[in-house]
Amino acid sequence: MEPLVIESLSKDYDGFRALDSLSLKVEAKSCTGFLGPNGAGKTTTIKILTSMLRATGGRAFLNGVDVTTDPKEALARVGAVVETPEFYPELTPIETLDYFARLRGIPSDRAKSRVMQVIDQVKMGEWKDQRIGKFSKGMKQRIAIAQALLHEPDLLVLDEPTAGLDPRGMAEVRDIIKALRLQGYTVFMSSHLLFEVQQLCDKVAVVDKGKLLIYDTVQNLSTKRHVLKLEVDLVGKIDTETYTKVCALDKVNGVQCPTATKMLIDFDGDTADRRTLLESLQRLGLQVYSFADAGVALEEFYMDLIKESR
Amino acid sequence: MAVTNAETGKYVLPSDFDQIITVTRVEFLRNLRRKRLLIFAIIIALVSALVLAVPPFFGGYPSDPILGPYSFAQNFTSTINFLIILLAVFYGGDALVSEFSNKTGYAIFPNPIRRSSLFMGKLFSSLLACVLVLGAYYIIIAASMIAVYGTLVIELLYSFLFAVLYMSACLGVAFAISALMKSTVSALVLTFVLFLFVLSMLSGILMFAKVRAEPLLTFQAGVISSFLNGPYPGFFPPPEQSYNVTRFDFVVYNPTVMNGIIVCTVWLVVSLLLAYVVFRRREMLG
Repeated sequence: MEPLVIESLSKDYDGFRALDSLSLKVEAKSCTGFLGPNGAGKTTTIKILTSMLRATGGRAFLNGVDVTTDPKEALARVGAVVETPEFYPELTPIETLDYFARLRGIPSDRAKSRVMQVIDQVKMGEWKDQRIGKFSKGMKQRIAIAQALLHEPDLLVLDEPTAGLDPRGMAEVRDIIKALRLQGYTVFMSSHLLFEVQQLCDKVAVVDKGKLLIYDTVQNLSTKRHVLKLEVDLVGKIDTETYTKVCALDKVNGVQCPTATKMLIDFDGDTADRRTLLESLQRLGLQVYSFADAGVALEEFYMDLIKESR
Repeated sequence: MAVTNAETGKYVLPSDFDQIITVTRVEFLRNLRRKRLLIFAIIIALVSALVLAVPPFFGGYPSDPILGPYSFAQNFTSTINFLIILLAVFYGGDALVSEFSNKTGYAIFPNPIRRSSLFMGKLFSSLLACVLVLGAYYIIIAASMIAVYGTLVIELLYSFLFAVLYMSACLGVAFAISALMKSTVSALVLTFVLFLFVLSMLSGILMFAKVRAEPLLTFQAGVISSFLNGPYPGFFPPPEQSYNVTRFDFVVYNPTVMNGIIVCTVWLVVSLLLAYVVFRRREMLG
């Protein structure tokens, strides 16, 4: 049984359709990135999954229980971080997490040790007895992640989990997510950061205007047409003749020259083809000193998808 | 009692009742931490000190052997409507809206807890805090009465019980406003304005027009003090008292106990139902 199944989920806000028959199945022990521009329907979907919004139509099953009809049971084995939540400012992290532990039925003897464990996991041990009202946004985000992990859920639903964190905090949260994946958690996370999704997720769902545009593995998306972008650095400038020759090479779909000594090549080929391309470039007399993935493959693909949908 | 499921090894969710108790405890702890109880303790201490300290400078406490203790207690309850309104505003005004406007709902709503349990927990915690303050005030009145007159009148208990009912109705209205409003500040201000100005003003206008303000909640507050007019029911003020001062005819309308109980109960039930329905259906937008 898939831990997350969305069936024809729709949501209207005063005549505006934020979600339009969205369907999606998230496999167990996978990490799925949920991508889309602002207003695409990502947060709306996550809010419906976490019982903050009512769906206009459709259903959403969390571990087999429909959250639209039985949210209490559906959310029992789900941990969620939605936006950057606020916590009761009068309470400390320990009291807050103990509160959530009680609501989730964790016995008090086990709750104590588990609360300390997750506090250490998100590196908040130093502030565990301070009132949350004094905390920064980043610290609150760590507490949010801690409460999502508290009951060792089967499914983690994360809405932009690194939002509001400083670069070090972002890296730490990504490390936590990577570790959770290794521990067998199923993660469903939205993000604006494409490289983050590329780094953490094995599958990607792209939505726009409330509709699912594509849902595939990161690997598959990266090998699709226009997706692979190669960055080539040269010793010496690129002239018009060389540019034309590179454009004419096999499996090259386009060439951009952001600087006089750099080329970004849209390439439609596998690893062997890449080796052939490098040899071809050298045969053309180009002195290549760097030849690598541009690291923006998903972004390119994403931009194409969104452009097509609009 | 929380246990783990033998098959899955996962925690079994507590019952709604257990969750209500958990919410009540935490909300009450928050009330304690917010120092509102301390503020109310200071208010009732100041009012009590004034009521006890001022009369000796102006001829002493009422000396009538039968009505003296009643008049003495009535001095305390003359300000009780204001105290109850303050309690409703501070313990009900932001109870529900803050989950949305302060974004704490983003943390609490994804938990496996029904909105009804959250609502009940918050309501019980607010009621508990209000009854504690009100009870403390009545204990001061009772203790002072014993100290000054060496006696205690049963009507003080009647007055307290009605004050609790009236306060619960006010709290219900505050919860309804809290569920409906978008921001915490606007909920607090509207609750305060409604009780202190709108309802009081309407009461005054209706009395001027010689119409009983029976359906108005604040009109019923008079029952709290009326119990302390003298031994009940003989000294309880009549529903209407006509006065003729020079060329002016006017009628003073007094609330009755039965109508007071009915009106407060209706306000309590209707406002809590409204608050619950709105809170349960309200979405976490923005």
